Amino acid sequence: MNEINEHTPLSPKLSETLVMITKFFGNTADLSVMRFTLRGVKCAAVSVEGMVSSEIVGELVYKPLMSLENETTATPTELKKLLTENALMSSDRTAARTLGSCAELVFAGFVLVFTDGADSAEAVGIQGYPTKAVAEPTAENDLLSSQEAFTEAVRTNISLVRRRLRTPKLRFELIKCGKLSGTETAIAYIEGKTDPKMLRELKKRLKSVELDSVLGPAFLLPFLEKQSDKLLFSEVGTTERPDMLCADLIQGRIGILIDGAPFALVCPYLFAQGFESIDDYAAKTYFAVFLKFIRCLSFLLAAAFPGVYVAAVNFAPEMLNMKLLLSLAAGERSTMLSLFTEMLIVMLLLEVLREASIRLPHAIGTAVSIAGGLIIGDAAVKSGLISSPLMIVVGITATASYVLPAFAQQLSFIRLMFILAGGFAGFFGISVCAVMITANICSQSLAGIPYTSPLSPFRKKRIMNVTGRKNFAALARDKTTVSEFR
Amino acid sequence: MFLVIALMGLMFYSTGRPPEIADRVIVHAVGVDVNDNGYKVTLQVFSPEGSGSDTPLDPSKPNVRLVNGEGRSVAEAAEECRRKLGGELFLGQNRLILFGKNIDLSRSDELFGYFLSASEAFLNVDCATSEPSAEKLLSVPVSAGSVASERFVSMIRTGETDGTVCGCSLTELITDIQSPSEMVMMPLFTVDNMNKDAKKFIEQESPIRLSKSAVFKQGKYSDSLSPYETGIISAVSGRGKYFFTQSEQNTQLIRVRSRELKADEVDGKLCVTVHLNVSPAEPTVGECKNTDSLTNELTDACEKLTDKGYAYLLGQELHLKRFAPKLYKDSPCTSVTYRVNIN
Amino acid sequence: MNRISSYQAAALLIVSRLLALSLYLPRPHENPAITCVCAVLLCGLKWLLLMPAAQLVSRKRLFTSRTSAAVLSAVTALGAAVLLIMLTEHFSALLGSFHPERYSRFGITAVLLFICAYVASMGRQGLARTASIILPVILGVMALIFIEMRGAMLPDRLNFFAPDPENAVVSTFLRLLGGSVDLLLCACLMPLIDCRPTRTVGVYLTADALMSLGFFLMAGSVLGSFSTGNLWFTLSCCTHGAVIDRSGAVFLAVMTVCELLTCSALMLITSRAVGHFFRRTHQSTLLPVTAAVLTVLMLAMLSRNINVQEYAEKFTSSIGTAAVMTMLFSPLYTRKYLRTNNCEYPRKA
Repeated sequence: MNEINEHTPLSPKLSETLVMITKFFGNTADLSVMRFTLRGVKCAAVSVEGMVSSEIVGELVYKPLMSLENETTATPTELKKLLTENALMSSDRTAARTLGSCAELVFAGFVLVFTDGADSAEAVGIQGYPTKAVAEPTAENDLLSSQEAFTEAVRTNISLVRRRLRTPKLRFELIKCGKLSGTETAIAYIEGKTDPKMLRELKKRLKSVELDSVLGPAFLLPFLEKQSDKLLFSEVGTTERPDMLCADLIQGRIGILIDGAPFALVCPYLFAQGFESIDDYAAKTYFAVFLKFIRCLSFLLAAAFPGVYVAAVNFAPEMLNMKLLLSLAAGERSTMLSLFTEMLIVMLLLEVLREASIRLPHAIGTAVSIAGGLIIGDAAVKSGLISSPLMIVVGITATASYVLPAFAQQLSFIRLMFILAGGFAGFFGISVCAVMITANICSQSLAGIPYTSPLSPFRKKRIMNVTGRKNFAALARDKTTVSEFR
Repeated sequence: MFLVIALMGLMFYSTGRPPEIADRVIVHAVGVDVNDNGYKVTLQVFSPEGSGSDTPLDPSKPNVRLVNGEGRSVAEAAEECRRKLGGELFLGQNRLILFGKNIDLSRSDELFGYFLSASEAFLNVDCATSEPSAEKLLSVPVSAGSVASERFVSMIRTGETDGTVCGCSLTELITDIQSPSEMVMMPLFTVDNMNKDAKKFIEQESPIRLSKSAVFKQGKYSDSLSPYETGIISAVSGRGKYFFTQSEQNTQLIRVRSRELKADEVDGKLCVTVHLNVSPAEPTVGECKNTDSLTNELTDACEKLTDKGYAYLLGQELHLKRFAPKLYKDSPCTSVTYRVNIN
Repeated sequence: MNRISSYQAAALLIVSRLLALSLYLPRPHENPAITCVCAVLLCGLKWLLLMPAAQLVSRKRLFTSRTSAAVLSAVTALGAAVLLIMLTEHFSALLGSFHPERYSRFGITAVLLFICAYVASMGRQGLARTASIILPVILGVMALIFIEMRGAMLPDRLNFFAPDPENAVVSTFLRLLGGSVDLLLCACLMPLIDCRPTRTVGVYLTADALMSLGFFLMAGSVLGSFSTGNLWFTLSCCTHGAVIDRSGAVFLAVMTVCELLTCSALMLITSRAVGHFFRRTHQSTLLPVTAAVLTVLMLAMLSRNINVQEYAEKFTSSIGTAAVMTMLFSPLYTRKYLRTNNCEYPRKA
């Protein structure tokens, strides 16, 4: 037999085809080949164990096939016609003509039905691989909105989005990413809302992914963003909520669903979106404005408060109210380390605790976090390692940092930079750091849409959504999409 | 980003680190007296007295201590204090500068150079005079409150709202002493003889009094002004918003709501009319004065003050510069007459 | 299109004016009220010059030939580099004198130029957006501080007295012009604005007039004739707020931010002008090289104690004036040249 590869066409002879398939799959143990004869014609059903549901295979494939059996014989062509028009009834049915397409389909949970004399196989989709049920979101919790989150199966995720946007303009395009993994990646967009140029650019970037495997969103991010190593923030956001993705799609954004990851990528993702929550649409307008203010304040507290505290106490104590300063001075007199060192140590410990609480099993994770924080913190203050005011600052910072999960990584890094800058150079260092970070944020753009829009460039129509939320009457009249942010 | 932080770290270690907050000596109040060696500086500094390991600062205790230093200038004397205390003096929270009555304010460099050279110092810090000496005043024990100097400042603020005191900041002091008139007015603290029985010492029996204002001419103490005169000066000059009037029946506190100036040049002299829009600051028992009698009373008071040579305190120099710059240029001490019009 | 909006350009120019205000060093016993009037007059003069220049530059070509373009690029690069050096030196000297125990001039200069190179590497759009985001924050903070300072104001301290009024006005006017880095910035930013550069000029000059008015009147009514050097830091030592006791650190932070943004803009202009001169457009190499050369030059000057402040005013005012004149006359000359040579007159896109 000649050398076989993914482009090798199937042979009309069943035996040859089955030999080719077995050889192409390397005699893998989970390949299941079931031979049978139907109306005098030799047939075979090929599938991969674990990828198909045995019960449904029986119902949708074998039972209809057996119903065709009678004492008359048929030619391969007639049998093929009967199979396609009378037996194998399924909405998810296609034909495979090459070894490569056979492999793709069989690993996607399809059953291939071969007939002797036909140079193609009928593939019926009967996915039965184990998947996780739709669960609650873990990071993006909200009070007054849906409690469903994406799952690992891309098809399920597609259905979660489709259920919420019942419009024919919602399109999904499937792309395979990863040379070995062949991971199914669905691009979701709404026709007429999305900028075609941006869509083309995105597809081009996805097709340029040269990795062997794509096992999650992080694998695709560097290909979707330009200069991702140099930028602090990401122009591509993630969400685990179908309702958030739908809200973004309506604004003309593009969603990317990846098989195996319970997250969707959203692009373009703007800085202001990190401060949004689906709860804003469930609250009154004035409360939504208040919540936005709280989130902005939390961002500043989480990023800059410790650094500013160190700068103020060490370099500009005259800024502080006298009684506050006296309390701080009295507190610091009893500690053995300098304030700067204390702050660095405590912040690093905070990151250690945070990392530990993610990695530990859920059963003991929370208890260890609380005990670690309370015991370590309390004992450290009583032994004079750190001062009480510092613990208050750290507590406020830690709490504030959990308000914005979208910026968790960036906040940890920026916080450390501010502490170092404030500790080394006071408010000069704080200003320098602030300008650098702002410049880094402002330099980003994806497909011509600046990351800082609608703040800069200023877009009057959309600024209300940054500072709060428009009332629903205004939202109903508002037809703006993300393309207008250019 | 890391390279920048490294550069900043290099900068930090190359110049030397600023002192830690725990190593700083926080100065609350500064007293300056004259002695044979030049100047004697008394610093009231923060000294925490804790009440337990979890509470390093006990607000029920004074939390201050005094330290003295002598030198040919205030800077030298402060340096001696620093050596005694063993830490970096921090003037950023200094609330008050007290000058002894015998001080010569015309020696600006010796007196004020120290405060002006400290970048963290508050330039609008309250200045006052004390009798008999600044050291004695600062030594008066404080029964409660974690910050002793705040008591002096609050007395000045209370006096301003009572119309009995006119505050003086360091910038005003330096500007006034460097003006052609060299005239300065500052609140005057006095210390009564203290009750030797310390057990009976309670807040109501505090020996510190703030009632008059001291006037310095050419740097030296010359006179004291009564609370009534001080109130008139602060209202007419615009430095205060309250003054009081006295009659046989009662004392009435008046609040100045707005102030407007008009001036005329008559026979080489400037006549300034100060229009004050006033209202009673608090309900008064008995008959209140009408606007005409108030107008006459204030105009007479201004005339008396001008006759005593205190026109500068009413704002003579500023009004000359504003309304009659040519007159001021010819003679900075051109006399100015004041009329007050009450609405 | 790699252009910036008119408001973004205005933000950058306002930031440079705020820097000029913060670096302003009055003469001893200078009357802030007279300075205020001179500042507003200067704004008026700039309006008269820049408005027509903005109209001309936006629609007309600037150069008649490659040679003239090269000459203009070289002159622009030199002018921007000189201004950058002046500003950095002035800032580091001021900071070093105000806080000698904390900041060394070498360290500040090195950090400043490095950061400017980093910010400039973000491109003109990144820089403009940064300015337009930071400016409202700065103005809001300063407005709050100034509102809190009103308790220390005494309107009686404001007057127009000066021992020699004519000399005072002229010298103050020239000193203010000597701090006008914005003239060169305006000239260089005009061609990069996407639409209505006249709006940029209008907004930035109005803001300049208001800021100057507020700052000098505040300084005059709080300080009177008291002065200890830099007005900005002196005023900061007189603040006493409800939340923040002393705002000196805030003043320092604002000044640092303005310095960084202005010098980044100058560095960007320098590197682009150098690129135009050598006909190389890759900023990834040009910018670091420009920054490195300027840093070495500055550190060498510092080590030899070369004081550039003596010439700062003359250089800045002459560079600024030259920039405005170029903006006014270059397009007119180009138009005349092309008409004389019967060339088609292309309109700029």
